[in-house]
Amino acid sequence: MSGSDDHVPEMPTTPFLDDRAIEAIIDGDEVAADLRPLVIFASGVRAEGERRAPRPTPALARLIAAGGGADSAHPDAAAGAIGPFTARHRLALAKVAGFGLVAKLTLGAGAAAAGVIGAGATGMLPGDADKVVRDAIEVVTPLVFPDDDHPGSSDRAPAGTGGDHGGSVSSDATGESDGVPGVDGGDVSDEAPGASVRPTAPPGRDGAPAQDGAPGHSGESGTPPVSLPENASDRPGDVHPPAGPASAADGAPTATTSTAPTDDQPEAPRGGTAGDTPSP
Amino acid sequence: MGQRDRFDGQFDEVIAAARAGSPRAFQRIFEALAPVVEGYLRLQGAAEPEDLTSEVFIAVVRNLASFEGDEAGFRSWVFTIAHRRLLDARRRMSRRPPLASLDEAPEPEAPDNVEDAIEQALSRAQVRALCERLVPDQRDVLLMRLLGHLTVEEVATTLDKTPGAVKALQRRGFLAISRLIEREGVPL
Repeated sequence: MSGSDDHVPEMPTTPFLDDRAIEAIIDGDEVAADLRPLVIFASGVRAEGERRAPRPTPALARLIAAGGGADSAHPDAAAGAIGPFTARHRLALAKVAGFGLVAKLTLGAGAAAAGVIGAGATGMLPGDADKVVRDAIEVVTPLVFPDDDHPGSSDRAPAGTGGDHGGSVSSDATGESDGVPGVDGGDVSDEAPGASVRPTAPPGRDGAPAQDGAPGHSGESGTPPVSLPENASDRPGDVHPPAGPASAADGAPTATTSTAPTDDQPEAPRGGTAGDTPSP
Repeated sequence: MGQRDRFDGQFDEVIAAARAGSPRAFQRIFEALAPVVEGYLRLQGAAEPEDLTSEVFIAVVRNLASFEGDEAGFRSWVFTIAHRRLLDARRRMSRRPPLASLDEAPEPEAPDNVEDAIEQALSRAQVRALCERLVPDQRDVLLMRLLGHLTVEEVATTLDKTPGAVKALQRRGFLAISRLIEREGVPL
C-alpha cells in the first residue's frame, strides 16, 4: 500500500524490471502481466525487421552483380545511394506512372522543352541518370528504349516465337512469287489523299532529311517532337533510338560523395565483435 | 523468437562464397539482414531508410574481406556500420534543407486485407511514435537489442559503452516506454 508520502505521480505503477525480465521481453518469452505492454511493444519493433528486404539502389545492385569489388570504382557506386536519384525520386516517377494521359503528355511537353528527353535519349546523361531519364521518358511518351543490360531484348519477342515483325519480307512484296513487286509500305498510292503535296521521297527515307514536326514524327499522339537518329522509324511505337555511347561514368575514377569522417575499413571485429567507436 | 540465425546455419558458407565474389552470396547477405537494418534505420527516424540501407550494404560488400568472426559478430559489425551511416545521414540532413514531402506516401506493399492493413499501420505508427519519444541513447540500445538481436556486450562494443551502461539504458528505456503507454494510454 502506498501512503501519500511515497506517491510518485510520474511513475504510477512502475513494473518490476530486472535483467531476467528484460531478457524475457527481448526474447518474446512469457512475462508477468504488468509487462505485457512492453512485450507488445517489443514485438512491434521486431516486426519492423521482418518485412521484405528493401530494393537495393542501382549502385548496390551493380556492386553485388559485380561480385563485390569489380565495380567499386564506378562513381555511381558511391553516389548512387545518396545521389540525385533516391527513393524519393523513384517515388516521383512511380507517381508519374499513375497520372492520366493528359498529365503525362503535359509532363512530356515540359520535359521536351527542358531538353531532358534529348539528353537522356542520346545517352548524354551519366549512368543512372541516363537510365532514370529514359525510364521517365518511357513513362510519359510512347518511346521505348532498348535495354542496356539485355541488348536487343527491349519489348521484342525472342527469335522463333513468331514475334519477328519486319524481319522478313513476303515473296509477294519482293516480286519473287509473280514477278511484280508488291507494296511494301514504302510507297503510297497516287490516289491517296494529299498526293499532290507529297514530296517525291517520304521524309526520313532514302536519305531524305526528316522534317522536324512533320506529321507522323511521333506527333500523332500529341507527344512533342523528339530528336531521333536519321534512320529512326516514323512510327512512334517503333522508335528504338540507340542507347548512345556507354555511360560517361563507366570506368571513371571513384568520386566519393560521402563527406563523413567515418570509414568502414577498420571495422572488422576481432573475436566476433565490432571494434570501432561510432563517429562523433 | 529472436531469429538470431538468419542464414539457416550456412553463415560460414555464405560468407566464404561472398568473399570469393559470388553475387548470389552477397544477395543472400542482403536479404538476410537488410530488413532488420532498414527497420532499425526507420525506427531511428532516418529520412530515407531504404537508400540508407543500401548505403550500409555497399560498405558491407566493400569491406567484407576485412571481417572475421561468426554470425553474431557479423550482425554486430553490420549494425555498427548502420549506426554510423545513421549519424552521417543526420549530419547531412542538418546541413541540408528538407525536400518536398513526397516520401510521406504510403507504403507500396498492397495489403491483402484492408482492416488488417489499417490495424497494422496504426500499431506500426504507434511503435514509431514511442521510439521517437525515447532518449536517443535508450533508443539506440533498445533497437539494437530488439532488431539486431545483439547481446548487451555487443551493443556496448558497438556504441562504445560499458555493458553496465547498456543495461541501465535498456532498463530506463523500457520503463520510459511503459510510462508512455500507461500515462498517455497509447493503445498497442
